[in-house]
Amino acid sequence: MPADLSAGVRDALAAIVGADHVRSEPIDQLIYSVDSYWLPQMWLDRGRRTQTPGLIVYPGSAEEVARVLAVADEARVPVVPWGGGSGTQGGALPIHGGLIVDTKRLDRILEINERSMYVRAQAGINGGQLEWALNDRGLTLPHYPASATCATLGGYLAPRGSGTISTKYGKAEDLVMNIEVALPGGRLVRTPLVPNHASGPDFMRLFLGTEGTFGVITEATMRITRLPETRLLRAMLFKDVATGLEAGRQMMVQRLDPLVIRMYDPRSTGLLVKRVLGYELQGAYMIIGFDGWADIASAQEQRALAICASLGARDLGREPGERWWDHRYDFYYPPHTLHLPALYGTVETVSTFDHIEEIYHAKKAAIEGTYGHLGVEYIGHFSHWFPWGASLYDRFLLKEAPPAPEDAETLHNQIWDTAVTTSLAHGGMINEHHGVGLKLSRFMRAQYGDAWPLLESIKDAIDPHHIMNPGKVGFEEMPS
Amino acid sequence: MPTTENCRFCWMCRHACPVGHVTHRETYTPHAWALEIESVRRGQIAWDASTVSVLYACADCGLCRAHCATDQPLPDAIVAARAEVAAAGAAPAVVYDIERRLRRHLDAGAAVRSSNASRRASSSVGLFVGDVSDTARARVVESAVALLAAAGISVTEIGAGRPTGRTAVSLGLRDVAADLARAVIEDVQSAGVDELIVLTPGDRWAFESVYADRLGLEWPAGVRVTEAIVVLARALAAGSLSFRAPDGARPYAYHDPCDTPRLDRDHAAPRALAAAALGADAARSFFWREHRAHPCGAIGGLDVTHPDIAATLAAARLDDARIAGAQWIVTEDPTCSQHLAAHASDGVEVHNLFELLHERLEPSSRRTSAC
Repeated sequence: MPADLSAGVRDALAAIVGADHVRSEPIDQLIYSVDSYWLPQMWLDRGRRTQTPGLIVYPGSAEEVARVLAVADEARVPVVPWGGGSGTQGGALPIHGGLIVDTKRLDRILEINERSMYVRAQAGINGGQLEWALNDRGLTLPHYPASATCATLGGYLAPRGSGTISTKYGKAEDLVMNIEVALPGGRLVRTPLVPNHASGPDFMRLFLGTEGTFGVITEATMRITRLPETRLLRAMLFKDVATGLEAGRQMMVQRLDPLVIRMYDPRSTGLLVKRVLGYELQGAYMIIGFDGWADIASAQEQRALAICASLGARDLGREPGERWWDHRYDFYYPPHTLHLPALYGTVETVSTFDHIEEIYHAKKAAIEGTYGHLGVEYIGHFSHWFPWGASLYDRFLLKEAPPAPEDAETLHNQIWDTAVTTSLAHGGMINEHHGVGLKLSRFMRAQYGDAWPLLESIKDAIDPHHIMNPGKVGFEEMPS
Repeated sequence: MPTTENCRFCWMCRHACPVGHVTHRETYTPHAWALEIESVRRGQIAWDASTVSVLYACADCGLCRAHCATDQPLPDAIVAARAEVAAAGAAPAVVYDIERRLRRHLDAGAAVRSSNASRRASSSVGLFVGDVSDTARARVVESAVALLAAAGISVTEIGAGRPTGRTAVSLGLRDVAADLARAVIEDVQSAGVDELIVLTPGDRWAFESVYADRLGLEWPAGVRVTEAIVVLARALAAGSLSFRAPDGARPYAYHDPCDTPRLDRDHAAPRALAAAALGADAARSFFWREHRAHPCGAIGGLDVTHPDIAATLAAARLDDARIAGAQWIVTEDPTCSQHLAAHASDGVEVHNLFELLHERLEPSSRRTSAC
């Protein structure tokens, strides 16, 4: 049920942030009723409306965020944190109305420390603007997600996102040193700013991946690095997924420290690589990259090339690798990216090397076997690698969604069910880096089994009235 | 697929949008403008005072398109939507005030047009002077003419009293914009020049792109458009222009005029001139510069439809100067320098680059303008 926002709540919020920073015009409500999740986009595309927020609030400081949460908690009003709105899982949707807390006024860089190599910034800063500021000093935050130009720093962390060079530098959660969080009762808490510690549990991590269901991240300190002396990109062509996966595995277990390994399956190679990069190739197209000091990167690359050659790969040379690097985000711009009227979803997962190939084949068989007669295709690439396994960024795609939005939603959800249950059945996770949001909320109990009640009890302790982003990340709705 | 369909659910240019940056509102970002237009098309919302106000909050600066990997012409789509709104009588009242003012310009300009039309240029190079009734612009024109003369370039002044139509088209006033553009084109054709020097990147963008892409008008064949600042920088590099040794100049930052990022521009040219006149050591860099330069607010009619946002953008540029350690902001665009100066305070002064260069021209470089 949409929350009832009394005039008293609005007045109390306006007293905190200023009347100009509380909005409720219908156009604002419309704009904040959709994020990058396919489902609300489809409904809007079909001329329908989705649930809108009652109010949008723009706090100008961490203290104001905390005070806003205190008001919401007192009034039992749901709160949805909003950064860039670029999440694909529906995590920022105001499914119960209530308040959107847009963090974009928290956009200051507080400190760039070139001795201890970190940047401390408010959580609402845009990722692209933060990166520009670092680049101006020859520095970088080595987190390069496709959403780098639109997401906020808080949005990097809330769903535990990955970027295109996470294979070397880690996910957003591996780059964060400390955070400040506003809690539902109105408290602000801050974790220690140290490289690491053993002084009790690392409670910072409670807030990473909880996507605003425990609180609102208001500030973060991130590890930075110098822009590399060299960046070596190259493309290889493997005959199939299996040999490409083996090449990537060997690079990782031999600790060659690649910047990127990105292998498109043959269908992605024929569809996306052709569309965006213009190469007509048959097989599995793989980008490999190394960065850092030129002599070290070159030595690492030579070892990687030897592995690829031993597995029969065709070396396509530098140009196709560098072209991919220069255009790596183009895949996500319309019209290259998947877009309406197509029905699609990114059902990405992660597992160990023992299972990841099996998961790929099982999901391909399940999705195309069940829905192939409708024209549903399955494509995928392997893009974030670890010395122990890899992530599979796989997608289903139907060129035209069913005309009736109800039918489109039903089919969409059925395919998701098939994809996720197949991942779980074969040793995968429901997600690797897009987060859970609304979309995957219903799978969290299956994911965690007997451990789930423990997470619920932590949620109850931190957010006893369940005002924080209700209905997301598997947590129950607000008590009626 | 229409641009607005492509952009409505795409967030990729958010980092580049200056209005989104200073307002912090999701509603004032490129994807939101596209979604708004598409939502009206689908009947989910209607054009009313609130939605029209949002539509007119875009600065039409072109940064979203300049940063788009697939070159989506969203600013053109927003301007096209404004044209529909304006034609339906639903634009903000101030837009129609501007339309009436521009119509008076056009009516009063008939005499100018006939006078210009009968006068062929004494030089093959024209200088588009534009609306010199604006006193700030008149001073800039005088300086630019003197500088060009010092560089050995004789120019015929063209288009006195003419707005280019660039602001009109941004506001959705397509008809009056087209009439203004036709008048400019007629002046240029009558003058018979083969090169037209312009004072601002905005004028260059109007002539090279707006007339063709937004108004469907053909620019006179064989007439190339060049920025005065680029011509002068070439003269400086060739040694045919020189300036007094910098004295008394304070740390300064160069503001890339509004519209700059949408052009393939020689970013070094104005900086080289400023360094020659003010000292390279005194130069400071804006964060928002060159290809990512944010506008100062004097663009696209934003200062009349949303003076609050235009003022915030000016304040942001003044803050940029303070953060960069600059006490002066210099820029060649008279509209930018005027707008920034109107909001300047707290020890940041705004100077027009043409005027500064003219003041610091070496006596040996001074020549009498041929016109």
